[in-house]
Amino acid sequence: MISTLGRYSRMTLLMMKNCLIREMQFRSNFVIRLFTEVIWLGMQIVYVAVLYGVTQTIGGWNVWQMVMLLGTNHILTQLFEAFFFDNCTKLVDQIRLGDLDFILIKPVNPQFLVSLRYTDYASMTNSLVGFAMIGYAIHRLGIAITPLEAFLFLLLIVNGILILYAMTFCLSVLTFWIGRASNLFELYYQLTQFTRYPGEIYRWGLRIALLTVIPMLVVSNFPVKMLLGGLFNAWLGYACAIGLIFFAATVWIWNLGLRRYRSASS
Amino acid sequence: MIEFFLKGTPAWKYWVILSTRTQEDMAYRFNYVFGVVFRFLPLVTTIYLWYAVFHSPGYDGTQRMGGMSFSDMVSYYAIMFVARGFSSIPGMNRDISVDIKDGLLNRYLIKPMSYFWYQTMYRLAHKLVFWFVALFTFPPIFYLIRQYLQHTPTLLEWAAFFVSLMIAFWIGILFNFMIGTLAFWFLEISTFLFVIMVMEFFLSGHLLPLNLLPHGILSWAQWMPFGYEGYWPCMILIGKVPPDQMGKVIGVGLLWVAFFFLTGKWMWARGVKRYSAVGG
Amino acid sequence: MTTAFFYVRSLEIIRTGSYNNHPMPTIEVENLTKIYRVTKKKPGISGAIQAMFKREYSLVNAVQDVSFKIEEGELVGFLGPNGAGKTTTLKMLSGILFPTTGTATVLGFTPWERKNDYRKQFALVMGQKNQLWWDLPAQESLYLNKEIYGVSDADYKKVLDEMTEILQVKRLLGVMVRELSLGERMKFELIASLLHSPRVLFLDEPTIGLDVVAQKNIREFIKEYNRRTKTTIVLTSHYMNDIQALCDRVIIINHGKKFFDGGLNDIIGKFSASKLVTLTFENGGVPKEDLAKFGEVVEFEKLKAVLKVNREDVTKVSSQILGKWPVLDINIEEVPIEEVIQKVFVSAESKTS
Repeated sequence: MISTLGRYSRMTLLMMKNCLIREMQFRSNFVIRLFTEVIWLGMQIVYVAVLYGVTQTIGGWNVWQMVMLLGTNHILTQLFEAFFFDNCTKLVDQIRLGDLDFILIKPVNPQFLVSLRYTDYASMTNSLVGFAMIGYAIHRLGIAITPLEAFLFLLLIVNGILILYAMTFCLSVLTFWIGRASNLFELYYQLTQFTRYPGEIYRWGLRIALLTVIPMLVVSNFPVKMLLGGLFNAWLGYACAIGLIFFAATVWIWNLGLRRYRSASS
Repeated sequence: MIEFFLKGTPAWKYWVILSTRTQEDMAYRFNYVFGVVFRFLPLVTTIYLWYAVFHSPGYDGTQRMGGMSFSDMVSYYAIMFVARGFSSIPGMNRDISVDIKDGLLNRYLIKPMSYFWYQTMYRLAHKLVFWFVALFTFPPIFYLIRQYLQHTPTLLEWAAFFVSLMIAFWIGILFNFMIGTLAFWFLEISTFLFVIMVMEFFLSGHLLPLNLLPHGILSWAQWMPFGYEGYWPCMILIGKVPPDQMGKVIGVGLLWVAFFFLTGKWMWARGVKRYSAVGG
Repeated sequence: MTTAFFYVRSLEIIRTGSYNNHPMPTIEVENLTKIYRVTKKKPGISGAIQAMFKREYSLVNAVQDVSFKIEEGELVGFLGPNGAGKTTTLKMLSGILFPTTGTATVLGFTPWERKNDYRKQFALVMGQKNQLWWDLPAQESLYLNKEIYGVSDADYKKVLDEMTEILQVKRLLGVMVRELSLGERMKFELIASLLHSPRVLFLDEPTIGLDVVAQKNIREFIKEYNRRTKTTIVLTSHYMNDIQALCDRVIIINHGKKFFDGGLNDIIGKFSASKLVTLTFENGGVPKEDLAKFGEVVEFEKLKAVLKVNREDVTKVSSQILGKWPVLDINIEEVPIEEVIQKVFVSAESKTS
């Protein structure tokens, strides 16, 4: 068990190293990517600034709490995009064009190879901006964060990324059944809308959906709430359970999809 | 049947392009349904968000923000879907720049066909399929949010709205075509294209109604061509444009269309000459 | 190939127990069948609209009831035109595809169960398809494979040194894969798949698109590798040269069916009804119509002619011609194997239609 973990860690690091070598050949691209991501974040900040120009609280959240949410959201999406998003989009083409052959013959879990093959360093670097935003907001709010809260915050971030991975990966795997699925990623963008704002603005029906079936609030709101004043243990456990359930779903649907794999014609 | 009428005329080749592309799009039916249905999801967040703003402590939902009531706000965002359905032409400027950069223009230049019309037909095909499916999906959505759509547009406003949609489409096409031709002169313009896209997105009022911006910005931003890609059609239909202003608003829009048409044509002619001189 | 190679291979043998610990054949295939569903669409816009609501399908029999056995150490060739089903069969044996019906066992495993123990023991190389990372030096891809297959540092170094030496690509280890020529890339693909000393090697059109010299190098390497390590190799190709150079045993597949399984030379005997008789005449030559009485005149010049003569009649015809006319030189040979195989395919088509 430990040796397997070690082996998979080594392979992950190797693939990350390979991507870094590759990335370093395209330095200008890296800078451009950083620039574009910052611009998008800027737009979101402008939006929030305008909103808080006309009111003091939204759903009970004041402006700095909102900034924390924005920052958390940024970290989540950037780290998700760093590790998993490219892999999911490339998977769609690999399935469609029958390019999974070489992955299926390797003595390694194919889902692992397919999910972690590419790492995007621009997004990874960009996530730091999110941490900066959270840091600044905490300072402005003047609240104290205990080490435990910080640790659990990071745990919930990882959990959130896992849920985003599960959602997007399941969407990619649908390609086994429905061919070209470029609009599925549209769905990813639409659903991540719900991670940007406080759950309190939604009515109970939608709010429940966003806590269970499409747990976008678990992804973004929970980590922030942890920092703002701790989260009840029950909720914490619930969040992790959701993460694991969603992850299990990816394994199930992936194996289901593999049975339909066509492979490129010779 | 269309073949019967068009075959033999110069328009025939454009019809073929149109129909082939349309078929391509239809081939991926699930793709289509997904795209259209989930396009409206942001509207849900928007409605809840602005509801929370309009009903935050101290407000009771009847105030106006930047001159917009809650109903105005929701109507604005809903109509924005329609407007952007006309003016948003994703990928056009990039595709054109790639065709130019990679020397792929040759296969178009040797054919007795206008590259501009080829691109336009190609995009129009995509729009037609989009609107065909939208005929089934937009009405139910608007019906669902009908309680928020409180303004009944006058005849003048309806007429101006349709004209503004045409303006939106042509500005979208012509502006993007013009930007694409920049590739004749500049090698690496992808960053520039991105900045343009962000500007277009923001200044079309897609993210926020322009009248929520500080007055200093609004005063010039509203007369930018981007404003016609979303802001003006929406404002017209929700009744924010008084009849005496209508002529001015539409007029400036038409001026922009003419401007991009002429500029684009000129840039294309100059660019092709340069392209051919270099050898493609 | 040096003893170091053999050393690595023998390690593998010791690990798995014995040289021939499988009482059954290395590869055993029985009634393997693969049927695909392909969507059909009517042309034009009305067809497109129809297709949005209702899809029509047709069935494609990619592989039909194919059975064969391959023993350890054999070098077998699958021959057939494009779309015959060779690659599909290979992909089923690699566990990439699930068959519709039928069974197959390789090294005692069912390939499509995709057990890691099985995957560690075989390798697949596909011509014109890269598993190497495009924007990286070949070395990095090889190292990643090392980790994936769990090859020890010592084994890796030995095998890598040997193979890069033999294939003469050692100096190219640090070169970006995208900058390598097709032949060099293919060599690295081979090395990448042989790092873990597999017992079974599947090669799908390995020489396709390569220049003559590269083809020859690859062929020689494969032959020598098989000879030295007794790795079971199954090779698909539509190039006769590959098959002739490498395989003693050939399985001909067309339209998904197996048409022939046996020695290369037996093909000629079984399928070729005639031989070619090349005659060189002196002073004057012979009229065409006269020659035509003895067989089909394939080529005819003033002093030279080539006749296609029925197998059984060759001796008789030859002696008759020699007796009748002044023949300077006579040469009797088989119809080129490509022609024979073409005829096999054509006759197969007429049988199925």
